[in-house]
Amino acid sequence: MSTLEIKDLHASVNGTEILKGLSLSVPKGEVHAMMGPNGSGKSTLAKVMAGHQDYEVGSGDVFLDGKSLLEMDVDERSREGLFLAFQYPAEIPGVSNANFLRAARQARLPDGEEIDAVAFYQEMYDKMAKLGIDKKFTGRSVNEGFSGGEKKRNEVLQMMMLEPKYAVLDETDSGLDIDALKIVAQGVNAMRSEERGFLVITHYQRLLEHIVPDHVHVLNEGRIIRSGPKELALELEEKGYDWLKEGELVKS
Amino acid sequence: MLLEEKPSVRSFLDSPEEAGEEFPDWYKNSRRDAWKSFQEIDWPKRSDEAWRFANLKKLSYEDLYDAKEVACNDIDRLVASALSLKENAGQIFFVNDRVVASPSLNEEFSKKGVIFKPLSQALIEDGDLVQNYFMTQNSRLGSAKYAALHRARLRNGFFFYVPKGVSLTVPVEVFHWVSGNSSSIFPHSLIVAGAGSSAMVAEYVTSIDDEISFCCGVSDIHGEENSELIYLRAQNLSEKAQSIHLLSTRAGLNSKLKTFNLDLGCEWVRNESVSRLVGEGASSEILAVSVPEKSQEFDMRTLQLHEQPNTSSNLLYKNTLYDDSKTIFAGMIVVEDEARHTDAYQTCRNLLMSDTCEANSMPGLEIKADQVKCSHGASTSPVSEDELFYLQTRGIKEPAARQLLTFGFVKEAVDCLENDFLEEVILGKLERRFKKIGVK
Ligand SMILES: Nc1ncnc2c1ncn2[C@@H]1O[C@H](COP(=O)(O)OP(=O)(O)O)[C@@H](O)[C@H]1O
Ligand SMILES: [Mg+2]
Repeated sequence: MSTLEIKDLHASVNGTEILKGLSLSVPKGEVHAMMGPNGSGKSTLAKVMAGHQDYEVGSGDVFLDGKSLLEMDVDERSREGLFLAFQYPAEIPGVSNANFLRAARQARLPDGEEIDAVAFYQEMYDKMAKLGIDKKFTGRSVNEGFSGGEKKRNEVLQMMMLEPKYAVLDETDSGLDIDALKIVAQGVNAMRSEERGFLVITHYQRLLEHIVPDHVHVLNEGRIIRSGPKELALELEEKGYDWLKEGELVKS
Repeated sequence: MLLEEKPSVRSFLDSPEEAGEEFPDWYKNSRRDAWKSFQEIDWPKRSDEAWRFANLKKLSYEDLYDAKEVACNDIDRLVASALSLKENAGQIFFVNDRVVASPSLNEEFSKKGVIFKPLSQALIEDGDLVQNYFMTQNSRLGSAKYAALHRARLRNGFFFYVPKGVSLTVPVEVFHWVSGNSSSIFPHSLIVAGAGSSAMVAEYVTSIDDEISFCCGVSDIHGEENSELIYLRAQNLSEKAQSIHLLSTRAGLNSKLKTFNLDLGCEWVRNESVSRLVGEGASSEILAVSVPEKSQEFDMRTLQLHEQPNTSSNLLYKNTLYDDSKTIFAGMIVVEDEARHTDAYQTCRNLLMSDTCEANSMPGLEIKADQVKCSHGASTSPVSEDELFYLQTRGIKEPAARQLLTFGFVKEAVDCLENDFLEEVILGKLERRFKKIGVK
């Protein structure tokens, strides 16, 4: 029950099927890495789980601790405990980071209950400090004019503030230099717990040196073609994806 | 009710109203001339370029009268409900163009020669000074007839004069309320920032009741060399009111002027804004936010006129349209021959909150000088699905997410003021506005 479970998921965009029967299970307490060539459908999977309207789910389902995610509205999925750190986070002019986070936290309270502003700010500042984000970012519009790396850190800050049950990190390492990567990895590692599962999508083995996964999955053309231990990532780094694509589907 | 009516009614189209004996001759003459001009100038026609897209059917004045004098016995309550400044350097209060409470001005500033008083009083006490600045700016955007009407019928307003080198670190504040059916007011705002001075002004024009009324106002701002001035005008008249407002700024050598128009009320609004950059190095920021709903119609015409080199102007208008509301934006940047090294920007953005609202944008440019950086642009779109999705993925419910985004949209223009006093007032009024409109 305590898993994020993707079952035989088929999804298409503009009539083209991108996910072609994807199954994957991330139990709480584990970190799963998902690797795969460009265009293999990694971000599509992330956005389908989050509920993006451009993607049509043909069949299959995603269960969060046994509840069907696909039945829920986008915001409901988040409140239920799913978090997606976007590969390309949206910019929101005029909405300050602080007001945005506050609204997200407020949405988790019962009607009529107000967030404790002082405690909220304190917590936000503490978490920003951990991620090396300057205080002035609270007043800046969400992601507007942020560098690639600043946007990624901001995604991780949101994750830390929302404390999801399951987090999907889509290429959170891209745009980060090595120092920033370490800081972000520390932030993620500090959140690893028996109560939380991670699906870390990445292109490079580099991130996985810092966020060491329990399992690695390889996605190709909308299907998992290989799953294995963390060493699989190293192997992929050496040999590329082609040796897997040609071979038969191998299940771990 | 707070107010008690006294009789004395007259349609303002029927006959002129002469200035009283106590006023200077130049002013009496100006008023007579204006009445003549008003009668000579034709009413705007739809075929006039300056009135393109305008709904002239909305204009009919047969049943409008000069606002009556009313007794106001609870000014504190009015002020308390006005969402005004927490701190001010001085205040003037008008109901139906009559002063209804003692004007104030911080002694620190009156000692330094600052003048902040009702115009009716300034015309008598500081007539020569007022004359130098009074109605000296031509109407250039189509409302010469209304400018004449205003000059012929104005009853009051304020004169704010900041002498050379004086800085007011806190804004002065002017309240206009309108009361009674078919009431017309003609508030005049005359602001002079002397050389090297700096000041801020907040002016509010609000209805007390939800009756039909008409406001024909003029605000003229003169910034002498090296002065800095910020002017806010927040209009929240009744849903049945009509408003015409003619704003002009004249920015002298190295001066910095900022104006902000906030329009919330009225069934019909016509705002004209002329920003002249008459001294080298002058800069003007021209900002506006409007949030029309139902069948409100806001018509905005602007001119950024660069007359000297090294001047800059930046215009940002933001409209959030609900229901069947309509906006018209016609902006023009003119860079004269001598005005080399000019930077001029003009942006109008419309956020559509319904399928039936209508936003018209007509940006324009006329560049006669070399070495000029200019851009103009307009955009019209509904709330961005990507932004909405992003907020929802953080658990924020759709109505709350939409509110955050619409508020964020207008806040961008407010942020350009870079003035905490005025921003707080504007955001407070916008918050109340969005709350009233609710989620649509
Ligand atoms: N909104 C969309 N419209 C059209 N094609 C899309 C859209 N989103 C994704 N695709 C296509 O789906 C495929 C998978 O894309 P994506 O999931 O972004 O891959 P990855 O993240 O693995 O690089 C690509 O071929 C991409 O072009
Ligand atoms: Mg991707």
